[in-house]
Amino acid sequence: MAVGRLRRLLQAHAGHPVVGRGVKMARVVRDAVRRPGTLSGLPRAILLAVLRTPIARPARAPSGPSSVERAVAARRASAAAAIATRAATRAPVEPRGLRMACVADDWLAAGLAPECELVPVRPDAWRAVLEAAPPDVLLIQAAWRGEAGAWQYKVAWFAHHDALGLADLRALVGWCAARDVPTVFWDTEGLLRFETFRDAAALVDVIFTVDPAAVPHYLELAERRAVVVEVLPHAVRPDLHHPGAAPSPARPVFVGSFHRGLDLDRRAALEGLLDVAVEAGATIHDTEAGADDPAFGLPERFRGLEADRVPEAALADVYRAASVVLVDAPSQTIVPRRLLEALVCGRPVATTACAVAAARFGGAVVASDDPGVLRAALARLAVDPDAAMRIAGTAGPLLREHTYAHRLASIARAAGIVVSGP
Amino acid sequence: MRPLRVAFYSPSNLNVIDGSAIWVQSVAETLHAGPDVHVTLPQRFPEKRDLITRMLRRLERVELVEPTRFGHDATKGLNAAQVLEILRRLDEERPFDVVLLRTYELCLVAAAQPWLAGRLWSAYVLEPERDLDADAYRADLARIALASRHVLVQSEEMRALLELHVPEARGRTILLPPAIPSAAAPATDPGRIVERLIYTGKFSRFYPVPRLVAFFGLLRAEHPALEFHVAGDKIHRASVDPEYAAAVQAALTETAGLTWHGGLARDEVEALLAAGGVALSVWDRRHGERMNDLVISTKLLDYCAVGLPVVLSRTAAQEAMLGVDYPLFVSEVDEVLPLLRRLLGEPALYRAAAERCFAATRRFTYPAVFERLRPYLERATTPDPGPDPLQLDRPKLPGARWNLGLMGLEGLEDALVELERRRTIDDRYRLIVRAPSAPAATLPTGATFEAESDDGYASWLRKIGTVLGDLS
Repeated sequence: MAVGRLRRLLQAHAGHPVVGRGVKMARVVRDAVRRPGTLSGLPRAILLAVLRTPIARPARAPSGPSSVERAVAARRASAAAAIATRAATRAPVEPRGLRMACVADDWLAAGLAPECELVPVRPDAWRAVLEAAPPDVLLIQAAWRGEAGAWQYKVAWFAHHDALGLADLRALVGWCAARDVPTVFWDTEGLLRFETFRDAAALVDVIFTVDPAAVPHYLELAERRAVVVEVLPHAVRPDLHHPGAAPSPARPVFVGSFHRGLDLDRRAALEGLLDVAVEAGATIHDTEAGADDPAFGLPERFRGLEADRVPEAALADVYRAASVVLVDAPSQTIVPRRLLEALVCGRPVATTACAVAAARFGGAVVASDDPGVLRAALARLAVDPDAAMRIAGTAGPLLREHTYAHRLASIARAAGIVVSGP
Repeated sequence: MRPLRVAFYSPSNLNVIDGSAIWVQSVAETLHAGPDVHVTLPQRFPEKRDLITRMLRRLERVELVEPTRFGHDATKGLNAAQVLEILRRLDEERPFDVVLLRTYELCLVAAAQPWLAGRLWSAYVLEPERDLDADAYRADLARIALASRHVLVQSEEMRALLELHVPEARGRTILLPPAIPSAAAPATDPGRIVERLIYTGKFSRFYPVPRLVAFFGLLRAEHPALEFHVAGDKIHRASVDPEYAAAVQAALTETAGLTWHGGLARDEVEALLAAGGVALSVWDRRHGERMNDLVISTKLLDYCAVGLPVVLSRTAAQEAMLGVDYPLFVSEVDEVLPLLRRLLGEPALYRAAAERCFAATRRFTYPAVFERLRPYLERATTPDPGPDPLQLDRPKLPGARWNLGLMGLEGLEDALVELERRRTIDDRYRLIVRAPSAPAATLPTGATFEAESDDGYASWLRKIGTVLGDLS
C-alpha cells in the first residue's frame, strides 16, 4: 500500500476510541502518521482494523472533554454530592466526639489533639487502626515528616520511590473514599511549595491553604478531585500561647529558618532582618538547624550565632521571655504561624515585609524590608515598657478566631460535618 | 582497558538539527572520550547534510555506517528491524561488547533478539508522551529491562521514576546525563552585562515565548539597546489553542528589536550564544509533562557552558545541577520580568549567575560523563560480573541523617533501645525497619516498618543515615 494512501487512511481515523491492549489509538495513529515505521509495532488486529476501515471521513465531532477530564469531573461531582449529603443528613457532633485521622507534622497534631479525637496514622499501620474504628474525616497536612517522621518523603514530592506516585497516601485516601470518609488537605506552606505538595492535594475532597495566593493554582489543578478550595490560616494553641511577663531585662529573639531558595528580594530582606537582630543582641533560634537539608542554612556570617535547638512546644516560653520577636515572612499573603504565636504570647513582632500582617495587626507588628525601619522599631520598643501590655490586648481577638478549635470547625464543615463550638 | 567495541544507535535523522540528533553527537563524543572505546554508529537516513556527521567524522574511533550498506532501502529511514539486522551483521563481522540503543520502541524489538543477550544497553526508554499508568507500557518496559544488561536514564530523578514503575530495572540502571564539550573557560565575559535575551528551541505552549516577547517589549522601554535573539523553527500547532501558532509567528516577526534566526546549525547556535546575553529556559507547567522536571536538557547545558546567566524554571533536577540558591530560578512565568529587570542592572548578580552556570557544567563534560560510564564499560567484558556495588552510590535525601535503618528483624530490640536513646537527644531521629514481614508487635513512636522489596537496597539507603547492625 502506498504510504500516501496509508497516511490518509490513518489521518481519517485519528481520534478512534481506545482499542485492544489499552494503547490509546489516537496516540498510536498520530505516531504512525508521523513515523509510518511504527506501524510495524502495532498488534495485527489493530493494524488490520485500521487498514480495513473505509476512508470516508467521519463528521467532525464537536470538541469536548477528554476521557481523563470526564473522569476528573465525575470524581468532583461525587465528592460534592457526598459532602452535601453528609451536611444534610448527619447530626452535629461535639468537637471532642469528632474522630479525625491525620497525616500531620507533630506541631499541627499537637495543636489539633486537644480539640477532637485525633488519630495520627502511619503508612505502615493505618489500616488496622482505622478498620477497628473508622474516622469521621481524614486530614492530610502539607507535611514534611508526619508523626515522628513516619511520612517523610511520602507526602511532599521527592525524586524517590516513596514520593513518586504517593502510593501510601493513595492507599489511605482510597480506603477513605470507599467508605465515604471525607478527605481534607491543608496546605500550611503556601504558594512557594505548591509544586511540592500538589500531588497530595489532588487526591482529596477539600483543599485548604494558608495562602490566598495559592487558591487560583489549586483551582487550576486539572487532576484535582476537590470541589472546595478555601483559605484556612494558621492557628494558635491557647494551652501554650498566652501572654506572660517577660523577665527583665529581656532580649529580642529571632525564631525562624533561612530557606536558601528564597527569591533575591526575600533573601535580602531576611538577611537584613537578621543583621538587625544580631545588632540588637537577639538570640537566634534557627528552627531548621541541623536539618541536614541543603535547602536550609543561615548565611555564612550568621553561623555560629544560633542558640541550641528548642523543641517546638518550648518556643512559647521563648516568645514570652523576649522583648521583641523577629520572624521571617515567606510571602506578602501569608500571616506567618510564628507571628501569630508571638502576638498571642503578648510580644511585639518585627518581620520582613508582609502586607497582610501589617494590614491586620497594625501597631503590634512592624513589617518591613528596610533594616532602618526595623532598627528604629526595635529601639523604640526597647524603651516602651507598655508595648507588651498593649500587644497582649490583641491576644483576645486572635483567640476568638484563630485557635485550632476554629480550624477544626472549618475543616469539619467543609467536609459536610457540623461541629458545635466556635 | 582492552579495546572496547560499542554499537550505538538512535532512530534520529542526522540531516536535521534537533534534540535527538544532538544527543547522538553528544553520546558519541562521550563514548569517544574513552581512549579504548570504538563506536560503530549506523545512520538511519542517507546523508544529505553533514551538520552532525561532519563533527562525528572528526572522531577517529567513531565509524559511521551508511544505511544502505547491506542493501536496505533507507529512503524513508530504516525501521527497527532493519537497524537490528544491520547491527547483527556488523556483529558477525566483529563482535560488539555493548549495543547501546535509544527509544522504547527500538529497545522493545531489540529485547526479543537472542544475539543481544548480555550486551544490550537500553537508553531513555521512559518517554514523556507515553502513559506510564498503562499496564501494556509497563509490561513492555519490564521486558526491556529483563533483556538489558543496563537501562540508561538521564538523571537520578528519572532513575527513581523508572525503578518505581519497573521493578525489573532495579539493579540495572545507570546514569547517562546529557553531555557537552569541555571548554576550559566560558566563551563570554561574566563581568560584562550583554543586553541580549536569548531563546533557542521549540515553540509550544509549554515554552511561553509570546509572554517572553511581551516582557522584552517592556524591558526595551528601559533598555533601548536590548535585543532578543530567537532560534528555532518548530512551531507547534495545538488543536486546543488554534490561535497559538499565529500568535507566536506574529511575535517573532513583528517585534522591534527581536531577531528570529529560524533553524540554525549547531555551530551557528554556538556562535549566537558566544556573543553573550541572558538565556531563557522558562516553562509553563500547565502545558507540559511533570517528567520534564526530572531531566536536564542539553540546551541548558549549552547555555551554561558558554557562561551565560540563565533564567529558568525551578525543578528538582535543575536545583540539583545549579544549587537551591541559584539566584535566577523562577517558580512562575510572571517572575521573569522583574528578575530580568534586576539582572540587567546588577553586574554582581549577572556575574554570580554566569559563573555558577559555567561551574555547574563541569560534571557534564564528555570526559566527566565518560568517567561515570567507565566502570560499566569495563564490566561489559565480564560475562557475569555479579552484583554492582555502584548501584548503591546514590545521593542521600534531605534529612537522611536522622534516619536509622535496620535490615531484617534481627536486632530489633537493640535497635529500638538505640532509637529511644537518640530520641532523648533529638526527637528527629527515627528508625526504619525493612524486612520481609512486619514485626509481631506494633512499633513504637519513631519507628516504622517497610516491606522488603528486591531492589538491592539502593533506593532505600538513600533515606538512611546510619544502618544499625552487629558487625561482629
